Order: sequence, then structure tokens, then C-alpha cells
Amino acid sequence: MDKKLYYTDSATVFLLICSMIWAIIGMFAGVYLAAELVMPWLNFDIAEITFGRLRPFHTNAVIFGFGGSALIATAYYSVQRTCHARLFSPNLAWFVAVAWQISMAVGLASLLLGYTSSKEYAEFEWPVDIAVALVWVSFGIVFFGTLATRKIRPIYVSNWFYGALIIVVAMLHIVNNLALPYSWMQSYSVYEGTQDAIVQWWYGHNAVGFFLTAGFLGMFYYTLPKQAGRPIWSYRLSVVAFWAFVYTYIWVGPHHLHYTAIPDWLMTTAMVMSLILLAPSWATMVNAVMTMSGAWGKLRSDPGMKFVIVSMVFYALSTFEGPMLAIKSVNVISHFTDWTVGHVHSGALGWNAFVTFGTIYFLTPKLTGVELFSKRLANIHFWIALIGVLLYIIALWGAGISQGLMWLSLDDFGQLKYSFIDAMLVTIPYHWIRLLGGLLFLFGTLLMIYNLFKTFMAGRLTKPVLVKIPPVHKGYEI
Amino acid sequence: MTQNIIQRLAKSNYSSPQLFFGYIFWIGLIPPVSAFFGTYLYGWPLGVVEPVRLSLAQAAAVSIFYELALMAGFISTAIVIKWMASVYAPKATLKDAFMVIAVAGTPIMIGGVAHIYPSILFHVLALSPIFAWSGYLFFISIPIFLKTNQDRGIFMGCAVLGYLVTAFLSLLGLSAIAWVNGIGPNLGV
Repeated sequence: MDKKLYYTDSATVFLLICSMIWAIIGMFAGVYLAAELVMPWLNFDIAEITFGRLRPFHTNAVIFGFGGSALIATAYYSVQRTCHARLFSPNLAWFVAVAWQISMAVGLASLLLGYTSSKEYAEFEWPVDIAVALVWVSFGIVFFGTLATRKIRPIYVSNWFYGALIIVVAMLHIVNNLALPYSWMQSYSVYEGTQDAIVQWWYGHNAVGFFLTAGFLGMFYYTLPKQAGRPIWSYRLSVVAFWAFVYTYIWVGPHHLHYTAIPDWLMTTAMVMSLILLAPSWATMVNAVMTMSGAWGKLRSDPGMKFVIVSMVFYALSTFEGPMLAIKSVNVISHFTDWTVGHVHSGALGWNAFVTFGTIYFLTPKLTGVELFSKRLANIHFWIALIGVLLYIIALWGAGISQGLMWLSLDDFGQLKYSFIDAMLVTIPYHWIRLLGGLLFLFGTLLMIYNLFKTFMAGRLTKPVLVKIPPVHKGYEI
Repeated sequence: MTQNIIQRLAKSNYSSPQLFFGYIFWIGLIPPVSAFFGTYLYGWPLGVVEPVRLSLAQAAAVSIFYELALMAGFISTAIVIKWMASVYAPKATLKDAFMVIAVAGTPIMIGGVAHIYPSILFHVLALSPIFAWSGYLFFISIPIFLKTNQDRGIFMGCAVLGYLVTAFLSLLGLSAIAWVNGIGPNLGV
């Protein structure tokens, strides 16, 4: 058998399994953190599981462990199909898949041990940063190598998004993590003071933009038309939205630094760009909604379809809420409150996790060659996860607005009306509801993993799925 | 059983103005009137200091604006449903859209009685099951009232839900801007 005539999906399967493992670890850590907020004794005076160490563990495990593995997996899968070509260097692809997991494991363990650069979402210290950079550049070589050896002339839009993810995240990661090491696990950032903050949030928000949005839009643009069995409603709109998105997003980071020591014009620029960003974000949403319209019957036959549809609702919600929170007058109330945390989770759970779940439910039968073990279980997962995420964000809206108003309220003498403790007391009941929401979401994920485990086990009994690379339609060859 | 009742309602001949002025407007009075008594008599307890009580004039003004906002919300949602129906349910009329919001909105409007006891936590606990019930009514009433199939109904329900959440968030944002600019609570900004 000539292997070059077939796609290679073994690294994809490995990455999807790793992604599920990180989902359990990262989401469990999140639920534990939510529990610590209402039951602080849960840290048992063990330094490794105190809130300060477990919180970056949670964010890095879900974003880079769960999200990162799923993004690399789906990039490998889709770039081959859209290029009619086998992965460029399957061995390097496997190196990326394994080295990414090792980097994550080492980095996350180091966070629990207390080694941190203290930069949000970039907490790993310099040795792990270098490892991550090398793995990421290798991922870029596999991806762009496959694009370069493609057999079809057009570059499908999902690849534009994955490409932006790879290039921009490499740039952000390397620039933001430049540091002067003074020991094996400690270093100083090369930037000082406000410049450090500006660079950090240039990284921080673009990690949201390019990792959690561009990457997942790449996943989405491949999966949705496949699931719906229809082409994208407007391909031109998708490409226009891509360029508008890339150009606009890169400016918005300083909206995390409203009313701080950074220049005022920078805050205003970030605010204006954040508002403009609504246009490409919603253009994508409209394109998605119109692509799905007509694929009515798929709702019954494809358990992943519901996840993808609802992910679009949350995508619309969070891409509307983000620009709104970037408005200075709104930000003065929302900043430092749970409103922001709720906003992040409506994006991370409702959009990122839902589109990933939908994609995994779609890909697993294709990769294993057997039907999903239980569509009913997938449906139960959908409803549990949806109730969980709704409880979570509604509770944090209530908590955030209460906190924002209480922290700023003045009495008749111009003194602060409430103490910090007052605001915390009001918050506690909401944090219980948030814990319940998180528990439901985690339980739903566990159901999915059981479902996938049974599917993979059944798949092992059949032959591994080998997909022959189809010929390119006439007129589109390179 | 619920579906049978909705099917019977779908056969009724009420016009859009009849539905609005004969039912929606009146049931929409429950939350503002309850809020008036809640804020005037008891006040919102925030933290450990005494509850925030509004004066008679303030409570009346807030309640009137509340009613106006609710009615604007009902009308705009009906128009949006009619607009979206061109993709999901071509046979639907504006009257059908009013039927959907009248049925799905009824539990929430009745649940507005909760405003008499103005505690945010009580609201979250009391209104969560009510919102869930309204959500259920919303999704099962769309295909019946708008004369479309169930699958299209779910797609349309998600689209309308997207609009509702966006409208809710816009209200939150506009409120925040109003507060920061001196309308409402006395904030140190």
C-alpha cells in the first residue's frame, strides 16, 4: 500500500484523546476553584492547591491543554482534506502532538509548584516558554508545509484562520515572554512598568482573539459546512470578515487597562477598535446562521449539530458583550467584577467548548469508522451543558453588577457606602449558583468522554479508517 | 397537553392589536406594579446596611419606564420574529409572532410578582424555573403558531434567543452608561 495516497489521522486521534483528558483535568480544577470561593477551607492549607496557584493551572489547562490540543488535531484533519494532500511530515506532526502534551504537563506542574512569570495566560517560566515556542513553530512547519504541497489551487477559508492562529500566536508568545533568566525557573520580563502591562495585554487579548477565536473559527468553518452538507452561504463574506477581523483584533488589548497609567489615546483607540470588531464578528455569525439554514433535518441525525448551532448563539453573545465591556463608561462598572469572569466563560464554555464538542461528535465516527455509541447520551450532554453555562453566566451577571455598583456607591457625605466585605457577602450566593453551573458542565463533559470512550473501544474492533486522497476537480489543480 | 392547548390557541382569531391591548399590555403590568411596591415599601437589600428604598415619585417613575420598556420589548421581539420568519417560517404573520411572545412571556410576567420581595438572590432562585418553563413554551410554540416544522422551529428559536440575549445585554450596557453619567444611583465616578 502506498501511504502517500492516503490521509494520515493517527496524530489527530491522539490529540483528540489528550484534549479530552485535559478537559477533565482543567474543568475539574475550575470547579474546585469555584468551590474554594465558597468553601475556602477546601485548600486544606496545601500551597499547591491554593486559589493563587490553582487558578492559572485551570486557565492554562483548559485553554492550551484542552483547546490547544483540539485546535492542532482539527487543523491536521482539515488541512489535509482541504488541500487534497497528506500531512507534510507525519513524523513532525507526531512530535508536535506529543511534545505539546509534555510541555503542558511540565508547565502546569511548575505552576502548582509556585513557578510563575505572573503574566496572565502566559504564566509559564522561560524553559517551558522556549519548549512551547519550538513546538508551535514545528506545528507551523507541518501546517504551512501541507499548504505548500497542496494539490488544489484555492486555499479554503478555514486554513486562513488556522494560519492566522499559528503566525500571530507565535509572534505574541515570543514577544510577550522575552525575559532575562536569573535561575532555571525564574526570570525578569524585559519590559518595564506600563510597557510591560501594554505588551502583556497586547498578548492577553490577542490570545483570546487568535487562539480562542481565529483558531476555533477555523475549526468551525471546516465543520459547519460539512455537518450542514451545504457550502458556506457567502464565501466572499467569510474572507472579508477574516481580513477585517485580523486587522482590527490586534489593536484591542489595551481595553484591559482602562483608567490605568497607560496613555489615554491608547485606551480610546482600543475602545474604538473593540467596537469596530463587532462588524467582522457578526458577519461571521450571519454567515454561519445562513449556512445552517436549510440543513433542518441534520438536527435529528447529527448529535453535534445542536452544539454548533448553540455555539453560534454564544459566539454572537460574547462578541457583542466584549465590545460593550470595552466602552469606558461600562468598563468602569464591570472591571474587576465577576461580570468579566462571566463574559469570559460565556465565550469559553458556550462558544469554544460547544463548538469543540460539536466537532468531536462529528469527527469521532469518521475517525473510528463506527457510529457514535449513544446519540441519546450526546443529547443529554447538550442539555446539561447548556443549563450549566446559563446558570454560570446569569449568576455572574448578578454578582458582577452588584459588585460594580456597591464598590462605587457613595453616601450623602461622599463616602463609600459599602465596605469590601459587604460586596463579598452579597456575592457568596451567586458563587454557589456558579459552582452548580460548573458542576453540571463538568458532568456533561464526563458523559461525553464515556460516550467517546465506548465509541473508540468499538472502533478498535474494526479496521482503522484509512481515507484515500480524492482527486481534485478539473480546473482547480495546481 | 401543553401542546394541545397551544394548538387550540393557534386556531383563535384574535388580531395583533387585540392581543396586544387586550392581553399583553395588562399582563405586562404585573412586574412594574410589583416593582413599585417592592422598591417603595421594602427596598433592595444590598450588603449589611439598610435596604435602598425609593421615594414615591422615584418608584412611580421607574415603574412607568419599566412598563414602557417591557412593551417596547414585546413589540420589537414580535417584529424581529416576523422578520426572521422569512427564513424559517414563511407562512407566519405578525399576529402569529404576537401569539408566540404572549404564550412564552406569560410565566415571566406572572413571575414578576417576585419584585414585591426585592432580593436579587430570591429573584434568581424564583425566576430560574420560571424562565426554564418559558423557554420550553417558547420552543414548542414556535412551530405551532408560526406554521413550520419542529426542526426549523429549533433553528428559529435559537436565532430569536440570540436577539433576546443581545437586547438584554444592550439594556445592561445602556444602564451602566446611564449610571456612570449621573442617572440613577450616586456613584463615585
